[in-house]
Amino acid sequence: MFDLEKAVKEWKRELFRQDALEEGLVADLELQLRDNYEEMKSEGRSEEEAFQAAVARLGDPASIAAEYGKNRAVALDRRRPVRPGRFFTALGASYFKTAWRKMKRQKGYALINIASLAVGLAGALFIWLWVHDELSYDKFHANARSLFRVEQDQAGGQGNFHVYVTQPPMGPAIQAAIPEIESAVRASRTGGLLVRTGDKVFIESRVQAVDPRFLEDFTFPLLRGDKGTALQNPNSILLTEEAAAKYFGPEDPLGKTLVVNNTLSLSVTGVLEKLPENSSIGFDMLVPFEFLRALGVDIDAWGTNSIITYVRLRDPAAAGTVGKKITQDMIARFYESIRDNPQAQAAARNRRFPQYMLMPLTDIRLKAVFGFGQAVGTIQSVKSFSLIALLVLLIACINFMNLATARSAGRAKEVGLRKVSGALRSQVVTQFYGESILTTFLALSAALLAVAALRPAFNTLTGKQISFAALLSPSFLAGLLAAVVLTAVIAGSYPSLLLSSLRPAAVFRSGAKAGGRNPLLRRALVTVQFGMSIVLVIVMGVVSRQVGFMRAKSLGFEQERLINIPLRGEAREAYRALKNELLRSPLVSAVTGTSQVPTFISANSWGAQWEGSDPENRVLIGITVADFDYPETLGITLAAGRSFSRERATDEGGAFLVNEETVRLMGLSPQDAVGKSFNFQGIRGPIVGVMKNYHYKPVSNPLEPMAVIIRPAAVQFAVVRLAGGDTRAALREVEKAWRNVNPRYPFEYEFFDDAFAESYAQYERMGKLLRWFSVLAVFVACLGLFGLASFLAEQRRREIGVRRVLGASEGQVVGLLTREFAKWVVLANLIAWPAAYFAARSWLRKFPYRTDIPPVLFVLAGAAALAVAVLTVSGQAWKAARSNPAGALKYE
Amino acid sequence: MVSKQLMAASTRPIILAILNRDEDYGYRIIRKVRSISGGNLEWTDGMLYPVLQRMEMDGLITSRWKAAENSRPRRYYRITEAGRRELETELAGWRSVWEALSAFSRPVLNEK
Repeated sequence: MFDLEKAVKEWKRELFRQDALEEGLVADLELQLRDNYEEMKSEGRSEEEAFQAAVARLGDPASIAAEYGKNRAVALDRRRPVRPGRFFTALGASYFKTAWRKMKRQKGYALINIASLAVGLAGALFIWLWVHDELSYDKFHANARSLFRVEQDQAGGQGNFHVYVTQPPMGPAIQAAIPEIESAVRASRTGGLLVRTGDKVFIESRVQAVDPRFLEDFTFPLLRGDKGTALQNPNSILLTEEAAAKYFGPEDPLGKTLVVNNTLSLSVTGVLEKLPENSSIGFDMLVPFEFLRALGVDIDAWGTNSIITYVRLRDPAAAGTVGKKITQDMIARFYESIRDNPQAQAAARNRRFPQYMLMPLTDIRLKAVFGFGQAVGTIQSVKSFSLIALLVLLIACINFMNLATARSAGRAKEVGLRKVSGALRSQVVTQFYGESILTTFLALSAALLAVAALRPAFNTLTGKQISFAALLSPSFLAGLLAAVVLTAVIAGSYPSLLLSSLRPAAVFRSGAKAGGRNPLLRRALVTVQFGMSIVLVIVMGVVSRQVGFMRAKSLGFEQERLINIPLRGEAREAYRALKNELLRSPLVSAVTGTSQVPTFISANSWGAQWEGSDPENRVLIGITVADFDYPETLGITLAAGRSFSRERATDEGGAFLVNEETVRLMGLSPQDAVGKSFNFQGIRGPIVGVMKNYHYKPVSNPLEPMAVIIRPAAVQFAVVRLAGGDTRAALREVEKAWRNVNPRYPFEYEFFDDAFAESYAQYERMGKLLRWFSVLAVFVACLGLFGLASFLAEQRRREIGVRRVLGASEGQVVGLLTREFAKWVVLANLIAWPAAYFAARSWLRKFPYRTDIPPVLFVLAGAAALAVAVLTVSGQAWKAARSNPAGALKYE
Repeated sequence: MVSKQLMAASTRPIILAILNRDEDYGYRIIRKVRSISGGNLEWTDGMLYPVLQRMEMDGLITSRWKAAENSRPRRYYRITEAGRRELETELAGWRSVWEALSAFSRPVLNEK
């Protein structure tokens, strides 16, 4: 028997199979069906036939559903777009909760992410502190912008020789002659002074003689005394706080007397505040410039460049003009001085005069240049360290991006759900940027803590006194905030933009692995950071190699067991007595003396002439004024001729020893040079011998032509060669001799090799700094690699499981995963090598004597990077390989 | 028989025209079309309902359920103001088409 209701029910079930048909629509159709049925039945069909006909008339359910489906699409299309507010507070809380939960659930990733960013930030912060300090030099002076140092280019056959010392009388002269100059202040180091009060005696090597205006033009505030008058009296002296405390303790030093070199009494007229660390002008004491006369310095002589002249301009923009005016003024003065000397006038016809220029005070620290273009400023370090800071920060950012991208696959569903629940793309973007900023700020806090904790160590390493307060200045904080937000935005961009672009339907249907979609990009990022690390490692290697090279370089004389004893004040007169006393001891093998620090002979002069020289060709030649036995005591070997001899009357102040550079400049062979007549420094005499080149300055300075003349009376430093054996006993001998001869002066000495080594300290420091930053960069890169490797191993769990089940050994799986990364690290090497080569070469260029850049260094750095990478990856790979494959596969 | 394309194009104006006379429900609309066209316009019953839904979405008609005495409840459709305007536009369009079509179908001789 046909049951209508049952048939309708079944028919309806059929309809409901169609997605698009909903309750209400089916009800419409059902009514139509029933009406049709009744109509058919009334036409006389059987119930069953009537029902079949009614169904047929209604049509195919699939095409009806398709029609409805179209309507639904249109309806969806027309739906008024939801425009939720930009940011819902409730959603913000949800974002925060999500981020927090994510971190808690994946502690390892979160830690790596925050740690690597923190380490990168801390590194960058430290470098910033260093750079900031370098850039802040001399800016504390109220008039910093209008203060300049007078410098000059001396023209000659070897090119322009740049010096920043000037003639002592120049300052007052140009102040009077050039209206743009508001004031000129001269400054000169006095050399070591023996300073005494009561029973307190110290050698003071940081004493500056300055014009009275010094205290007004420069901002070195006085704690006691009056800056207008403190330097007026030639017998006055000013002390810094520390120096005052050293001599007078808690007493008021004002009006007290200090005795200099046992003979000159100076009255304390002022106490200066502690000098800022970032001052390129350094001193412990100030004396009036006129006081130099008392020390025997001829401050009226135009013939030497020996003191520094600072000028304060009314308008800083006039610096270029003022430089030219100084040049003209100096030339005019020169012609004025030879007005009555036709011979000199004739000689001066082709003379090339020094060109003067003004160096802004605030540029001195960074851009100072000396000699034949030797950069002595720190601008190169500032630039390279800034670059390193950027690199380190970039590496940290890359890690962040990499990890966040890798992890994004796991979050695709979250994004899908948010979007389905009505989140706009912009909201998802906001969420991810927010997370990125949150992480960055956590990292920043960690970095600041690290900087606070490690600051003392950093100060030791860099030899600076950087206070933490430098980190709290508003401008820095603003900059930091900007940097952090920028980091967060750059780091967060990729995951944020990628994830927000996912289509929810696709995510839910296939469980899309967003992170797996761009392996190339992520690997490229790993490559870049390894490349950067390798560059740093190689450059570090080259720096330490260069320091080693300079330390080990043969100096051309025997530097061991050689000491230099400064002779101060009247101790100078006792030189001969000291020498005789010392030579009596078997522990001393030789004694000589020089007029300048024997490990840094910097005096030089133009105007040497010799037989057959071109009078037009001015050459710059160094001068060593020494005692007899100079080459013998130092152990300098002769290439030709003989050494000085007391036997020959003219050898004292009437003969020359020159080095091979001089001979080369003369265009002669050493043999031919011997006996040639030489005219230099007002001395006319023969070249008696040619010395092999030797370093009279640290190896970081170029070797230049040098002439030695003998003038025992000018000796200010005794040079003593200790005999082999017990050095300490020998030093005691020397001290005993000193006490006999100079009872009123403390005994000071310095070993030659120490002095040379000390001059490389800045490069050693740089090497150490670089070492730390390389370690840092490698560490950060490894953290990134570690995170990525563990993520990829996780992603490939099933693949690994299948491989294991099909018989792959653990070793094979580890090899598989490791090889993949190794490939990219090898590529990183190929990119890093040329970059490192150019960086190292440009750094080395400033050294006149430089090490080579050995290829093995590149290979070693590359191999080390590879080893570290393999180690990092294989740990994760082992874990993946050893896990039970059943676990991975059951998951499916 | 009317072609598929013509059927598709004419369904909506016809429904509007029917409803312009009085409100009605699905089954009766189909019956009216069938009887007036003598069976030349044969709609698949099921396909009417999506069209009605769409027209309601477009605001041309409205619908309401009406419980009739001793019968099943029916969904009655009623034309709206927008529907009337639409109907007028459609009529004008169909007229122009019809005029053009009939004009071109007259014997050519009569033209001179």
